[in-house]
Amino acid sequence: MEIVIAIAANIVVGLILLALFAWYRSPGNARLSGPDEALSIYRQHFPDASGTVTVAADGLAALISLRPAPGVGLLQLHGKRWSSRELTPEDLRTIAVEGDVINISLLDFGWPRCSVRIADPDSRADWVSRLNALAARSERSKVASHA
Amino acid sequence: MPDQSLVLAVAAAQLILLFSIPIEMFLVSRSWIRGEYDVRDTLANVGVSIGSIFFWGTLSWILLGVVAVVYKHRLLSIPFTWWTFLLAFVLEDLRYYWWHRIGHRSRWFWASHVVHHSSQHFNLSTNLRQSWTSEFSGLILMGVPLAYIGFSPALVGVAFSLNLLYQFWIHTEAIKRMPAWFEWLLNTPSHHRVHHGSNPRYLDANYAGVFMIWDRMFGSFVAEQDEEPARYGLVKNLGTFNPIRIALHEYAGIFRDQLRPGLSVAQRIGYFFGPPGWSRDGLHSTTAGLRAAEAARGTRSLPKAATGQCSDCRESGLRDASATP
Repeated sequence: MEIVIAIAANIVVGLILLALFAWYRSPGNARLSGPDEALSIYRQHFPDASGTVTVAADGLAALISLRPAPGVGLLQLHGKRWSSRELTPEDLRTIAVEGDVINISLLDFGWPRCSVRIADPDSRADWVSRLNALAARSERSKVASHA
Repeated sequence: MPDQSLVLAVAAAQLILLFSIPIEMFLVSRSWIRGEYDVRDTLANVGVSIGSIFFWGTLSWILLGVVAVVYKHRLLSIPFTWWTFLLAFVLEDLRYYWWHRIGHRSRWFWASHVVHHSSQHFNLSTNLRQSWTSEFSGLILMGVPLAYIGFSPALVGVAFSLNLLYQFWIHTEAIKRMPAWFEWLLNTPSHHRVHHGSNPRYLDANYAGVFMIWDRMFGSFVAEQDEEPARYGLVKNLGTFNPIRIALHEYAGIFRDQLRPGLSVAQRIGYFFGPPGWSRDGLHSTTAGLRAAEAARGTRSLPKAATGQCSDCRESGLRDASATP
């Protein structure tokens, strides 16, 4: 009985919160203003990172070609905060392209997938190639490219 | 035995605190107090909470059963009086400190506790983001010693509940600092912001439930610094609001690491019970590794408490705990 009351109380609080959110509206999501800001945010978690940054057309994500050690950095908006990863070959499950969006499926239960919208076709193709090359270094990962 | 009215009072207090979450959210939305809420994050917290209550409610008999059996073979029979209750409360808080510390230092136990730290926000609703697997981790056995000494399971249960109730209010950015004596003796929002920070200097610090003296005694106290607001969340933050993924992601990580080819027995144990972030290739993202990297970088000095030498950790005011991009 106590469990039912506790769960019901949680649901009620959840509904109240939902109503409050709907009533007052959350401020709009952040957007990356450019490569410098993307790298600055990425460096909060990887302070030594440097490289060439491609910011998604919608400003919601960025891919970073890391230097001097070759690698790929991923930055994506998660709610109002940014999540980041330095991708390893073992992280990548599949890479697919739909229109101007690169869909990256990750072997990470806590971050299963992400999408990066890259408008420039050359840049997009370059990143697909780069991600596939990274994935190919993994023995376990079977990357299916639909580019 | 504790009076039934005391048990009911604790339960009522839990419900009242639960309803303080929308109140804080309302005040934050009006900018009357400091803080930040994100709809998806908060609803994920509620989802995780429902799962946590379900698993605790259906599986807590494991803990209660173990404690009851041990209590039958107790050393002493301690009556329920005001002073035995106070003693139980203090000892329960000491138990909580070590339970919490182990929960941060070994990956198997961290896999259970990480849930509570997985939000990149810090507000009252963060309280709701609790483990689904505390009954499985084995740490429940830490509830045994008090029963073995002779404190009744009901007495320990009330002390445990009050301990958790105390910790509710410290999950907020709305309170900057409490009076100095309070900050010295007790856990506060400032100390707990540090505990939820993923900045290297704040990792694995301030494990206290109620009494901050445990951290000061055992060398894990770190004061909040003006110049470095806590960056809430994990070293590797999540990219999902799915409560199931939030609750179980570290177990999936352990399982995945165990499948790595060519692991020695020692390496398998390392991935299982080593500190979170341990890696066989030496590219650790453990607390020690991250602090060493930061020290080598020389961008900022680490607190003495990071090496257990804190005797003069400076208390300072909060400048900007928000890490809004």
